[in-house]
This record gives sequence, C-alpha cells and structure tokens, in this order.
Amino acid sequence: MARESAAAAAAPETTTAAAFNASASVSGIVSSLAREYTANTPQRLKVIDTYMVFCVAVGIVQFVYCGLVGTFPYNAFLAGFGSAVACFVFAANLRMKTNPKNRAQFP
Amino acid sequence: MRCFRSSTRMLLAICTLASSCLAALQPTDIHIKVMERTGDKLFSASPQYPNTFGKVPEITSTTPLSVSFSVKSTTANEAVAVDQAFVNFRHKETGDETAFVAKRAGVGAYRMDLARKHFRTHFAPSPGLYDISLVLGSFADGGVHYALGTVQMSNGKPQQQQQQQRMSDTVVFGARPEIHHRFAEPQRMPSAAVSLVFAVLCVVPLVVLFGVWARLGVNVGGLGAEPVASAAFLGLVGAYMALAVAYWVGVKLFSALTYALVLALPTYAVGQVALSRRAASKPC
Repeated sequence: MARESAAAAAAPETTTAAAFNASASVSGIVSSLAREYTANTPQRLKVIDTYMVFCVAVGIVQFVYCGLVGTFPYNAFLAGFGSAVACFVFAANLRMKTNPKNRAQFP
Repeated sequence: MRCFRSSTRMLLAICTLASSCLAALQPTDIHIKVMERTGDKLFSASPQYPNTFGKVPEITSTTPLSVSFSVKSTTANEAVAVDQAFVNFRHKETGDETAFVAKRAGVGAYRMDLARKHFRTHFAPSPGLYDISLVLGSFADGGVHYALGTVQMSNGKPQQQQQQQRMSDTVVFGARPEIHHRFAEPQRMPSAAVSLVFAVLCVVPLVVLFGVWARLGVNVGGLGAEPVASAAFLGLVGAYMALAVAYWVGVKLFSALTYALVLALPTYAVGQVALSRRAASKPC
C-alpha cells in the first residue's frame, strides 16, 4: 500500500521532469544551433542569410494582407509576392556559389 | 434525311419543265399516313395520280408523317429507279419551301418519314397549312411534280398565340428603346488605416535588414577602389528602378522593354568592369 502511494506520487514527478527535459533539450538545441551559426558562418553568408530572411518576411506580410483584405488589385499582389520569391531564390543561388565549402563545385 | 430550303426552287422548276416535256414517270402505290406514337393510325390516304387526298390532316411533333410511293415508267410499264425523289412542303401563306429526300425502299419504291427533330427544326417555328407534293426526276424518263394535298403543321400552341408569334417575328423599323448606361459598382477596398499598417509592416523588415547589415559590418568602403565604374554601375541599376516606376506610371510595356534593352548592354559592361576590378583588388 505504501509502495503504491509512493509510486503514484512519483509518476507525476517523472512526467514533469520529462517535459522539463524535453523543453530544455529543444531550447538547448536552438541555442547551440545559434551559437554554431554565429561562430562558424562566414560574414558574407550571414549578409545573404539576413537578406533571405527579409525576403521571406516581406512575402509573408504581403500574403497575409492578401488573405485578409482580398486579391484586388491582383496584379499588385502577384508582382510583390513574385518579387519576394524571386529575390529569395536568387539569394539562395548566390549563397550556394559564395559558400567556401562549395568552392570545389564553384571555383 | 436531307432537306433543302428554298434554294431548290430552281431545281423544282427544272423538274416541272422537264415533266411537261417528257412525262414518262408515274407515281403509284402512294400512301400518306399520320400515326400516333403508340402506332395508332390517325390519318391514312392513298390518292391515285394525279388526284389529291381530300382531307387536311394535322401533324404535330408527336404524330409523325410518313409518305411512301412507287414510281413506274409509263413507256416500259414497270417500276423504275429515279435519280431524284423529293417530298416538298410549301407554306401556303409565306411560300417557304422545304424538301426532304425520299429514301429508296426497294426497286422503284421510296419512303419519307418526317422525324421529330426535323419537324421541330422546320415546321414548329412556322406552323400553318402546307401543300405537300412529290418531285421526281429521271434523266431517262423526265420529271414529275405531283401535288398530293394539304397538311396542317401544328406546334401545339393556340392559333392566336401562333399569330402573335408571327407578328412578333415581323421586322419593325423605327427608334429602339433608349439605353441607360449603368456604371460598374466600385470595388470594395479596405480602409486606408489597414493599408497603411501593412505598408509599414512591409518597410519594417527593410529597416531591420539595414540594421543587421550595419551590425555585421556591411559598408560601402570598397566602392572607393573603383569609384567611376561602381558609380556608373549603381547609376544604371538605379535607372532600371526608375524605368520600373515609369512603366507603373504611364510608359507602355513595349516601350519599357525597349528602354530596358537599351540599358542592358551598358549595365552589363560597366558591372563586369566594376566587379572584376573590385575582385582583383581584394587580397587573396
């Protein structure tokens, strides 16, 4: 009886600890990723990555506006969204070419 | 079944003329029947050439008409095949004619069945009394135009409505009713505040981008290594942006493309010079 109550009391603590460990692991992964990126990524690639994030953000804002307000004028939405996507694609290509790790493929 | 409109008048006239010259054909075993859809006979007549059948049967889309006959040569006194066998319908009031080809149903025997779709196409729009006649033609034996009698084509509408329909079909010359133009309703647009908020939201990432670039150390100091070519290249890129604005404001598409083509070559050349010299000036 005493063992069962102790086991029952230990069960929620185990679940809480597992959840805490999981969240800690996720935040740990994100922070270690950020540290690795900041330390090991060349400055040139960071500039391009920042530009790519800017393209994504602008595209998302335009898409949300189109979803909320409507497509009129449709050509304006197509032009703006298409430009953001195109800039992102070109920036991705530039990043692949300027990455020092790809120097063998892009001399 | 083929049918011909009033363009066959010439042909019928030729046949009539030929029949008056040669007249060696004689229609025989003529049977005209009007049947119900169930097969019950509503009207049946077998006139002898050159007599007509006396009664005027009523024909609707649900009571098909059937005409069968044989053709005999008076000289040889035997059934002959003719080159042309039509059953012609002529409207008594308007004079419009419609001819249907009688198909061969044996040696010297012919048959024409007025299908429902042909009735709807040719007779339902213009009901009334029609003179029905046989038009036969043979190069060897001449031609015959035999008036069989009169039939009433009815489309099921009362006589008054048919008359009104005929009257409404007549052409009236005069002033048309006045047209009142209605402008299209304007598109529903969002409020200016919403548009402004989203415009600011689109600009904010650009400000953040410049701030992050400044923090990363992005600068324009490298332009000093090749100032002329760099300034020219950036100026030409700016000219492209100005061209996009001009196209938005009023320049036509093909004019804008022409200007873009004109700007393309110097932009490429100057950019090639500026970037290659900049790359050469950078330490390895």
